[in-house]
Amino acid sequence: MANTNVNFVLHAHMPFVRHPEHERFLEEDWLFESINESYLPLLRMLNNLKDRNITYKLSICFSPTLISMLVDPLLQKRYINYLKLHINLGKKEVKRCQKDQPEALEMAKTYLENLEDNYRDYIQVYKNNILTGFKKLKEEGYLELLASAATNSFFPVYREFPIAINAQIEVGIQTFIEAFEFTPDGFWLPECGYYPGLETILAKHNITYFPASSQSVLFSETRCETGVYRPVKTENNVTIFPRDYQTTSLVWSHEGYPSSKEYREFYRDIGYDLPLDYIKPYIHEPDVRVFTGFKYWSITDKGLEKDYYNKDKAMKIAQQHALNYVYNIAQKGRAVRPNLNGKDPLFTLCFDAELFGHWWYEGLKWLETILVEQNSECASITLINPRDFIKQEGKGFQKIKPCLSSWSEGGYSKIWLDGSNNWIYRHTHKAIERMVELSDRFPNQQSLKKRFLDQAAREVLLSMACDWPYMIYNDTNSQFAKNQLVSHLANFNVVYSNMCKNAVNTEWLVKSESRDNIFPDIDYNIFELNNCKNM
Amino acid sequence: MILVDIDNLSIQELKYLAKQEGIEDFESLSKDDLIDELNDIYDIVDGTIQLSDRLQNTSGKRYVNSLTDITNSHDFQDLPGVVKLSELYMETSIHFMLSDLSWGFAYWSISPLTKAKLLEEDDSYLQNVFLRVSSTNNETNETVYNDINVDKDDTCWSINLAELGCTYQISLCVQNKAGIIIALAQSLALSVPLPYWFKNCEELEKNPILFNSSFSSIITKQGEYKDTLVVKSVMTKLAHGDINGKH
Repeated sequence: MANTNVNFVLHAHMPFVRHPEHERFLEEDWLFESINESYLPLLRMLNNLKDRNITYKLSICFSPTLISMLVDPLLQKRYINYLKLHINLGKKEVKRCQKDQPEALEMAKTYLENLEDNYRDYIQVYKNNILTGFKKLKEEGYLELLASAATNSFFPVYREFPIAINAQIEVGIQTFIEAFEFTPDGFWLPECGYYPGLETILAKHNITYFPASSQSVLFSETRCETGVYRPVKTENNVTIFPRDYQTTSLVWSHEGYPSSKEYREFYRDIGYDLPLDYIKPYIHEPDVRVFTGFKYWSITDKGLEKDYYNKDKAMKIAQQHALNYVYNIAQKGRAVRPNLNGKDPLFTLCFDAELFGHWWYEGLKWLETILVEQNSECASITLINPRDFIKQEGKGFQKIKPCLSSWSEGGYSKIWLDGSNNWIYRHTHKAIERMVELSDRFPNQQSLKKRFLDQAAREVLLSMACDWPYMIYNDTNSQFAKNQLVSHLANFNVVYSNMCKNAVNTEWLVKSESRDNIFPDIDYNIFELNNCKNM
Repeated sequence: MILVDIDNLSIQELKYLAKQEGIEDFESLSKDDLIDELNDIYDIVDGTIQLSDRLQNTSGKRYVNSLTDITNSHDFQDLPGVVKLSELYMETSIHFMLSDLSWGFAYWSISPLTKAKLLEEDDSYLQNVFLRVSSTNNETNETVYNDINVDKDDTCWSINLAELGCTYQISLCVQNKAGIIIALAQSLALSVPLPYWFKNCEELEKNPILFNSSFSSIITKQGEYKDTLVVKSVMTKLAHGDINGKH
């Protein structure tokens, strides 16, 4: 029977926002919210399906910055504190709602239950490291895990510096191996940012496939025979899984499923709703209101007045949306099959992992329904992971020359080179040039100088994160993004200016190593020019 | 974006919103006055007073971008030895990146040493700084040059890439009164592809199945397409029947 294959890829990422110098740091809440509302509930859902003997295939990429934060003892401890604080808030909310807001009581209890489940799972099941849960599912054949660039760097704006791209890939893979104890063959390009020639560096690291945006294939100079509905190969045999924009946009667009009026309203939260004296213990100093995760309202409409959220009704709609999605994919599969020379189509669908549960509360129910549906006897789609699909059909993929592309607005690099953020590259490019200079002038150093140079390499990589220019472009937390970026660059310059005088600033080194403690095994020699011959 | 209940905000939060909204004497206003002033501003959207909304909505709920300048409250404690970043660097160079298939971005710097040498040689050089954009057709190898005059204090420029299927390279140049040109630095050469479907979109018109298996993937269910130069061009041709002169 003809079949429609689906390669479902989740991308989990957080920029490096660890600040031990503050007792509580606001942006660290981004991480805690994602663990709380997406990663742990996702693990529970996946394990529950496994226990019900439901077979599924999903691909997940954890960015190296996220991996580093998830295994960091300080942040693990802080997450436990966050859980305790929010469990306390949950208990207080149940009491308050019983008396003052009975319409919200069911959801207050639901949130409290989720927090208590998270607390139990985090400490007892995963021993503070949730990556072990995903690793186990990988070993059991349910998940495929992809590596990614060290700090989520957008590669097309660094193509002049293949050595820095090589460093991003190498350190990203090292971090992956450290966390999951196997060598990856798939790689997630941050923002699906691709430029011609990148596959040479990927292949050097034994990467055999990567997902890419639709236009990498559609706007190639080669006539792509199968559109985005089959993988293609680059000249050096790296497989590209082009994403289907249309099917993805049924979810990921202003009018996608998550915008349905019965779904939970993300932007209304008791952290901003309730009187300050009540909510004060759960927000940040000095009186900085934040999301608490306790949200009782439905989207309703674009107006300001909202209806109370009805969870049962919303979850039923999420199930309907999931079945509708499966139907749409199957229909599209039938429509494109005649042009695929008798082959079955493969839809590559990529989403941010945090969409499910965190941004779109019902998203996990939606995903669960798809995973159950594709496992049924009369399923019209089959989930498959990229590795298996290559094994099965890899010989028949067309070779093309893919073109510059990304999955961001406009499809290229426009938002990374906007008037608001293009000043960044003068500094990050210079930092890369100087790092290369340091590696060439001071190769194979030992002891203190090596630590000093390793820290410089960390700061350069952190400055290359595309999160900072994105936040500046989007004007969300833009001052924080600027501070973070400038701090990494200025820290790098401490090493550069000291090494030019053949000195080491030990006070800076100790403090910097403690703050930016990412990539403990980094070797600054990756920036040595010999590393990028023929790239 | 956050949905807040204005009536429940603290005076600091109200002052922050008032500052964002440009209320001049916000520091001296009481909590009630701040709420009144903010409600007056929020009720005027696009120059229209939203009376009905105001009358219906007495609970004071509003969407705002943020409530406090939380990012500034984070003092990024500089580590010992950290100094401010330079505005420019002491070297002469030019760097070029592609924003999309029709725009690029270049930034450059001229070192004090280069400037001093040029001034010594002929001070009119620095009065005429320009970018020479070379575009070489990837098929014919024919090269066309376009000069963009920039101010001597400019350090970056967005560059229009007129044609697909060309390789672009930017040179940072100066010219003296006698017409002598010196190229101070040259960027990386970057190729802009000529997509197959851009050249051959009539194939799509003739074959709906082919269209389905390629271009439909970048159209949403609402009929909006991914807005890029190539898609726009192909869609325009198909929509207007420009191919084969049909309408």
